[in-house]
Amino acid sequence: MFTTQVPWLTTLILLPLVAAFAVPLIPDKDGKTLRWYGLGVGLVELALTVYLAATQFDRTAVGFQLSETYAWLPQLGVNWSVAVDGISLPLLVLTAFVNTLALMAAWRVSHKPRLFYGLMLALYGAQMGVFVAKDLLLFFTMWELELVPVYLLISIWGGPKRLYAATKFILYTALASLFILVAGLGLAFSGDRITFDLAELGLKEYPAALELFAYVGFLIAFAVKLPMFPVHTWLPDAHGEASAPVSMVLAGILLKMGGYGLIRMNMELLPNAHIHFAPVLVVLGVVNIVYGAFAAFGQTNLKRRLAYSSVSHMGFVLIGLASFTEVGLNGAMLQMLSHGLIAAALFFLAGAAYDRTHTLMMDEMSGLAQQMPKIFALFTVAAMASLALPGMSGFVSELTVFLGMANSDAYSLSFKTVIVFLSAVGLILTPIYLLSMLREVFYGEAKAETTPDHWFSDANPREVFIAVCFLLPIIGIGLYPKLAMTSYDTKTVHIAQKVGAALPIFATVEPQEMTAERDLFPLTPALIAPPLD
Amino acid sequence: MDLSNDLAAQLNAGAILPEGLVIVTLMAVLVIDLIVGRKASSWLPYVAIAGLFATVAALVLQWDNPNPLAFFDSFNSDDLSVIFRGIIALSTVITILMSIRYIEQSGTSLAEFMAIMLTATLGAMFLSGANDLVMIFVSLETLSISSYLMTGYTKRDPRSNEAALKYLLIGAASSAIFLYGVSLLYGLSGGETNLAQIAAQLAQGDSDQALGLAIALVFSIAGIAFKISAVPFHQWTPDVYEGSPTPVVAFLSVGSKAAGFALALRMLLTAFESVTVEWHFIFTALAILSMILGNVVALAQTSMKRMLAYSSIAQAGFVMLGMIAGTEAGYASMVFYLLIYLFMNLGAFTCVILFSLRTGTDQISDYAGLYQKDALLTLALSICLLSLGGIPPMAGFFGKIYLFWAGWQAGLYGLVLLGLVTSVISIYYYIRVVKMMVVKEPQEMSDAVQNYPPIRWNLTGMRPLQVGIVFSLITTSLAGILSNPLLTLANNSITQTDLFHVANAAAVETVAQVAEDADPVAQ
Amino acid sequence: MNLAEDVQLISFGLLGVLMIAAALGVVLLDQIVYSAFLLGGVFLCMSGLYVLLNADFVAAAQILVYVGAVNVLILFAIMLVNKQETFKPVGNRWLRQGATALVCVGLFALLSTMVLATPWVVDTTVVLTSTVVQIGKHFFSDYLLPFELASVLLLMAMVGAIILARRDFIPEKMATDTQDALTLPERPRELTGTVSDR
Repeated sequence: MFTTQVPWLTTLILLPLVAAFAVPLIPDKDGKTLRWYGLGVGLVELALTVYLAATQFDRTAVGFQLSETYAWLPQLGVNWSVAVDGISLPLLVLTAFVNTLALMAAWRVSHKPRLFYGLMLALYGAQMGVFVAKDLLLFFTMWELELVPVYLLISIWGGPKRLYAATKFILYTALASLFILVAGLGLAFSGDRITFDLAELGLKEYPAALELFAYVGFLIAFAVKLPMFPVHTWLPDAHGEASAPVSMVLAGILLKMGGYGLIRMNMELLPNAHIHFAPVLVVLGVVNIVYGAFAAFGQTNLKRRLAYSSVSHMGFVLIGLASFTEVGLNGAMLQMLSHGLIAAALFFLAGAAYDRTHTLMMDEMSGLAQQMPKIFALFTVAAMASLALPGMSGFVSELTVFLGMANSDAYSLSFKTVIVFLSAVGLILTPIYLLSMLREVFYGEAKAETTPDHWFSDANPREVFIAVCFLLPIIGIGLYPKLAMTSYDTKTVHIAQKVGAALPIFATVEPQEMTAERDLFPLTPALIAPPLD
Repeated sequence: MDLSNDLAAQLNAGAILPEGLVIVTLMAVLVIDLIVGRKASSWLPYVAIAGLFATVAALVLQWDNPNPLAFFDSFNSDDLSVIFRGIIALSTVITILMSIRYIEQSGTSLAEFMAIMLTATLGAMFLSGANDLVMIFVSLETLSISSYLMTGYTKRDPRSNEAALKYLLIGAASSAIFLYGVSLLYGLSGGETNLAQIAAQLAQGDSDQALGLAIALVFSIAGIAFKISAVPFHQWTPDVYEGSPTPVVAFLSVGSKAAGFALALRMLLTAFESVTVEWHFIFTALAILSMILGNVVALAQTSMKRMLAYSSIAQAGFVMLGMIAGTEAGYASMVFYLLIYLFMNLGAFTCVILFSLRTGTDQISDYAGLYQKDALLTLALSICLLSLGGIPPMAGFFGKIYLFWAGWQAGLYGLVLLGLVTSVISIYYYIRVVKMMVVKEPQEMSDAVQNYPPIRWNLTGMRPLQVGIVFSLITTSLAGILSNPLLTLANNSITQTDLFHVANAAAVETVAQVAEDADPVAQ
Repeated sequence: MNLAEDVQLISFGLLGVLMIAAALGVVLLDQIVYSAFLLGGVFLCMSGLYVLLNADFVAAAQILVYVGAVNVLILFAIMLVNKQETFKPVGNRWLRQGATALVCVGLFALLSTMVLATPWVVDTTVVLTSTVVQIGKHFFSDYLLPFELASVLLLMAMVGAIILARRDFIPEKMATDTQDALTLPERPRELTGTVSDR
């Protein structure tokens, strides 16, 4: 392999990591070299990723591509094995995009810049690693690798409650990610061959109990990251306290790691268990949407409101994943991409506003529109995208998820109706809290003490550039969704078929049991899955 | 007995060449110090280090020795013992590097300190290969008595005295218990002292011996558990760690512990082979207690040395996991983890020493804001602590992965889960120190850090300290990613050791062979 | 033969009773000097038991080492320390003593059951040569390595004893801050922390 092709993906992981370790060696007399260095690395990485996606990637192929495998720890059956396929490639591009813009957004970091850029680059590399790892232990390593940089990024450059938020983040995530290892070990040792290769693991047949156990393990780990109700509580703290560039990465990419993990592990490896848990995912997804929306409404802190809106939006991903249709899965993927862009844009703009007002309390901000019209305009566009205005990516993705759910033949009609209805309620709540946010922050009378001598400067060209960079693809996808969908369409169809193929077997086994359950749980006739064994 | 002309060949004396080199070094240190006096103190440590490197070189030559048994089977130089002796010798090298400045600053004599340290190393190395009850006990005592002496080395300090006295009393009691267990073993096997022969005799024994064997087992494990400071035989650890000179603590936590594990492996796998189920059970209990108590109590510590003491208890719990697994992968993961633990733990101790030399304190709260004053120290200590906590890509992560991997393979699901959960707890207290150093703002800096002296590496003994820090920093960060050679080494040390192939059948087979050349005296 | 066995049995009984009585005295008597002397008695009885076991060398070593050295050392220590101190009676003393007694009796019961239940392999060979010769042969054959190692151990014990006992030489550059020298570089910390973190 090494001789025949360029190790693109390894380069993608190692470039930011090596760059991170080289940060202490960069001479930084005037305090400006470092940010150019960071941005340069980010741009090179982005260029590489885009080049890879545009020229090297075959959109029609289903399986892993560009795979590279080097023996790493043969004693443990662990390989340095990286590859991309339809679902990892768009996320990879998103990662490079958001991280590079985050590095650009961090232009003003003057406090311990050396450490900051080192950690940002390490985080960058770790995220790329998560999305390209084809080996379960490599995936776990990369997953854990991202912990400490995020912890330090929150706890050094965060808001007033940063230490609490950072500790909560690391304990939640570290504790949850244990389950990746446990479930992974369970799968790897099942059968006659010890392997951590995802492709090989997907071919194995697992006993039903192990499959359910592993599913629960993965679900716990990814649910915390996604975040799924009721393990979402770290998110408002972490996102609320982190500085803008870190929030961008957290909301833009780290949440997507949870969704990616659910597709990659739970659905691809364990389709049979997915059938048992899909109704749970749907119900929790709805809870996420509605609860997230209500909770967002109750926040007075701008960033915390955005954080809860993330919780709400990620609920659509859950519903899409559990819909058993290609359309639903497509919608979930698109929702991840779209939310990655929108949330990053919103957090960036919130950060830009904070840089000027030095407060995140919405009642203290009012009337900013007159002083910073550019930020106001950009913020409004981003908020519109977030509340799923037609023509923006959020609308397309949420609509696709609804379509998928509504067309799903796995659930009963009443169940689907309830689900769609409740999600629609959440969808209605979204504009309410987002528009009220806009009203509180930008409209109204400017606060007396801020007007006369503190005339806030408007967005500078750099900030406008970053925001526009986010908004262009958002609108682009909104107008022409195929732009994003072509890259993963083949793969999601394949996965949906794989999961769907497991469905009828279960559905036909014991219809009697099903009806009995229906009587017991009138709301969940969708529980078509029979009891164990 | 017919003493042939070639005495050395008969004794297979080449097998203890590394230990011979240690003895030569130790004598050289003592005699040079006697003749040259204090003038030699500037270069004497390098003599000791050179001697230890020669020892390691000799150990490399011992690898895959086709004829490992020496001195009428009382010493076994198989690959397992070679790797453990290597770990011990290397830990002494790093300990000496870090102790030069420390001993200098405490105003005591360095030469004697190194001589005692080398004796402890000698005892530990012999213990790793001891194959005979008498040999085990004498080497164990060599290690213990030198450890007591080192613990109380700064004799004007009441804390050091207290530590030494505590260690001596508890150590002597545990030695007595161990000796009682061993003497029962001697009686039960009909007067054998060689481990293999004991195993053979016990395998033939009837069920009436079960109670005696159980008591022998429990008593022996009590002695071993004291050395590896497994809960509930850990009570000495925090007090001794806190009061002793820090280089001694470093040695106790790595070298002495490694020797304890080597002894446990050899003794339990040969002599107590017939009660494998029972000792697995006892060690499971010890591992559970050690992991829980070590990690939970470490959370509450305010002193760095005490925190590291509890963390070393917890780490011993993780290592025991590999032992309980009872597979080749399990033992290999133990060896691998100990190898990595050597670097990361000694690295952490080197940093603690450097900090206490510069500021005179080892309180965790006094580390606040160190990043602003000393980036290298902060980086090294952070990396070592994160590695101990098992954060990738540091070496400790891979060590733990291998341990858990092996444990899962052996079906120890509950223990692996417990290990994972407790290692998350451990992340909390390790990262607390990192947070102290890195996150604190300049205005939150502790007094100790505010009065931080200018960094000077040209003082006596500072350069070796720096070498130690940089070396462990590099190893800890790279040994995980590039761990393949170490893994191969650990695996080979297990697969090429007969110890792990001695099944019941083989044990019976040796009885006949043993009967022929059993008693050299009688011949 | 019969007479010899009888004599052996009687001596064993006598020595055993004497030893237990002396040991009880060591523990129970209030005067520490009496305890020390009685400890010597215990050691002597023990060496008598060794004689009965044909272990003449060990018996002699027992007397030389324990009575001649250890016990005399203890006596020296007691006589040099002339400190009268009244100890405060410990509350619930009977509870502690009871618990200790329970543990000890339990341990004794366990060990004696084990001793009685186990079929020990008894060595019936009659040793004709002196045990000293036997031990010497062992030392220079199969126990050569432990024997040699013991010499290193003794050397280091001697060095250690000298280090602990000698008056320290404090170099000149340290003389300025003598109170810091010969102690750990770490400052002693406040005692408040030591109790709380157990």
